[in-house]
Amino acid sequence: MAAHAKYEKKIGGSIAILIGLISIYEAYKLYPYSVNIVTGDHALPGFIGILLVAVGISLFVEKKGQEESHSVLPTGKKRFKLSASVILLFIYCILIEYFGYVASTLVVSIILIKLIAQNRWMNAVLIGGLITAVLYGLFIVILKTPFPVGIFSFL
Amino acid sequence: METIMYLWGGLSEVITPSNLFIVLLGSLLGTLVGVLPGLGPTSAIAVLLPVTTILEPAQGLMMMAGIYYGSMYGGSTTAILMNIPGESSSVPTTLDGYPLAKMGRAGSALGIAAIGSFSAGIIGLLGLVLFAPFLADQALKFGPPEYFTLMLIALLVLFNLTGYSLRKSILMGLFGFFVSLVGIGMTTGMPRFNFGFSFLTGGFDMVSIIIGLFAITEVLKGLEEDRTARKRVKIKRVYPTKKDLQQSKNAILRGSLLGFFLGILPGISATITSFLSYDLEKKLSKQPEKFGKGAIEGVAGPESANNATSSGGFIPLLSLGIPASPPLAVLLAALMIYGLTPGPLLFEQNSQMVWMVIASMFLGNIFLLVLNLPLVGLWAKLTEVPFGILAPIILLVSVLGAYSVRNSMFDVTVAIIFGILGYLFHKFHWPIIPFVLCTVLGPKIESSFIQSMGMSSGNLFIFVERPISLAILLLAVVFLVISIFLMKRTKKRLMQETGEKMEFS
Repeated sequence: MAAHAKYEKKIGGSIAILIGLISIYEAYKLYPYSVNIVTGDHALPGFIGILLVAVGISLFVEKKGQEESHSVLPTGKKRFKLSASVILLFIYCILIEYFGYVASTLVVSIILIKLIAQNRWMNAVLIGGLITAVLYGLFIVILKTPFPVGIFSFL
Repeated sequence: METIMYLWGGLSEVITPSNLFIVLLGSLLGTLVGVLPGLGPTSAIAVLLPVTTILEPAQGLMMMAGIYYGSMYGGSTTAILMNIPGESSSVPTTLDGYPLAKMGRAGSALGIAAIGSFSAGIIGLLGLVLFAPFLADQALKFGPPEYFTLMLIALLVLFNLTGYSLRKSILMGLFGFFVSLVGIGMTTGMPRFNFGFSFLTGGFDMVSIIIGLFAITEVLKGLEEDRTARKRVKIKRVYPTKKDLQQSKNAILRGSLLGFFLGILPGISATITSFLSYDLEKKLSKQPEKFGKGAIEGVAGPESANNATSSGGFIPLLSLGIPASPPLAVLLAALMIYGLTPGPLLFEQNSQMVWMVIASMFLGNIFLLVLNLPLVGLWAKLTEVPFGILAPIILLVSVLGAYSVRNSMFDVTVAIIFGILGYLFHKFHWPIIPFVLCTVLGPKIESSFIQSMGMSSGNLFIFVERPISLAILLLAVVFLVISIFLMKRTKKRLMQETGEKMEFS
């Protein structure tokens, strides 16, 4: 995992160069619609693209050790908890489309509590139910947010 | 005199039961979120912003201002009781606040922090009332080239303030600009960077990005650190003694004035002023050896300086439309959501609303002082909420909040992705502040640039040929030199006190 920290600037620099090139390409595409070389929708994407490439290259070729961060990404149980929580959020986005707010929020909150707090299932269900009800009151009753109703349209 | 009349007019409109309730609710909600360990003012405003959208614009903004002040106050509670500085600007508060709490004087420290925050808040607001309309009046002389120079220079100076490598700061600022460019082009109406996807045509929603970078990231950081509810120190006495007040009054005054006057200068952040205030108090003290072991002046000075700088930040925000810190960048986004354009015209076009919001800030500060001292015990209890319960709540509120702004699942995905990115940025010391500021200011900078180029028929020298623009550039050089000096000093002090690099707030 330490390798991640070692190549952090190289990775950051490469991403900057890549985004810079995309930005320059977009500027090139928009240039025919412009008034002149510095006036139009292409101007700032062009400038930013050039700067991203320049700063990206300078970061990429920077010598090791200059203000290098010595961070390592988590491993084992911590990595599992982190990844599982993020994946669960993405799954929540899909579930809410198909099953609506109530069912999806209840399921996701119970799993999140079980995963993060490591409570017993019974406690997780109770707390998850409470969270779902309170957030229902806030977002649906008070804020009137039109969440997808999904297959449980009666809820 | 005219200003006082406007303020009086604003005050008379705020004093209605519903408006007073909104200000009170905002202050309490802000404190509630602010005391939760790990959640600072920016996350508090970002998470609660969608909740305010059902209100009238004036009420929504009054609530946001209350949330801002409340969360700032809440942050000092965790710093004193649990030795957790929510942001780097709270580090000096922990140096003496926590030892005081361990000595059984947590109530005194919290009380003095509340009084210091109140005094600083009021001094900052008086400065806002006096300076903001004057500055806005002057800024009416600004044309697009002056605005472009001002915003660009302000950003450059702020990049220097992150506490991390300048090159990384610039790169993060450029990434922020890049993100702000996604959507419909300003002059042609052509979609930019949409890569054929319709969901990218509307651009990225600012609130989703901020929710991701501040709220979701904070949970991910907490999961990695395996945060468990830390034992807080018991509070024996809520109110500070006469002796505490006597010892702190000069420190509060000095901290407030130093924080405000240095804070209104571009390039001086709350972290810098709070450390300067701490060092100043130590230098002026007859017993400097007490600092770090529980000196009440060590809490009073930095807390006041921190709050005065934050209040001072409202001056460039309201009069020029330039946010000096991430929470103010979120407030700028909030103003835009409510259809307001911060800048000199704000005082002309929405004068009634602006003065109402400013008047509400005075009341918000009074509410915080009056209510928070007796509620200290309750806030302290909240710091014991287990992270295992808190984290799922924050994650779900973030997802639902991101959705509720534009009723779009794409925004939720954006929030989650930026949450992951924010975690990685934090992990590898890539500063988030330049990214946020550039994302918010990107469209304004672009419109000023395009208008300037239109005025000069594409002549880039317009930025140095106009006297005001040139003066801004020259002043910027001076501020940049001062800020580099102060930033290096603060970076060293932060390293001495915490042993780690932290992003400045």
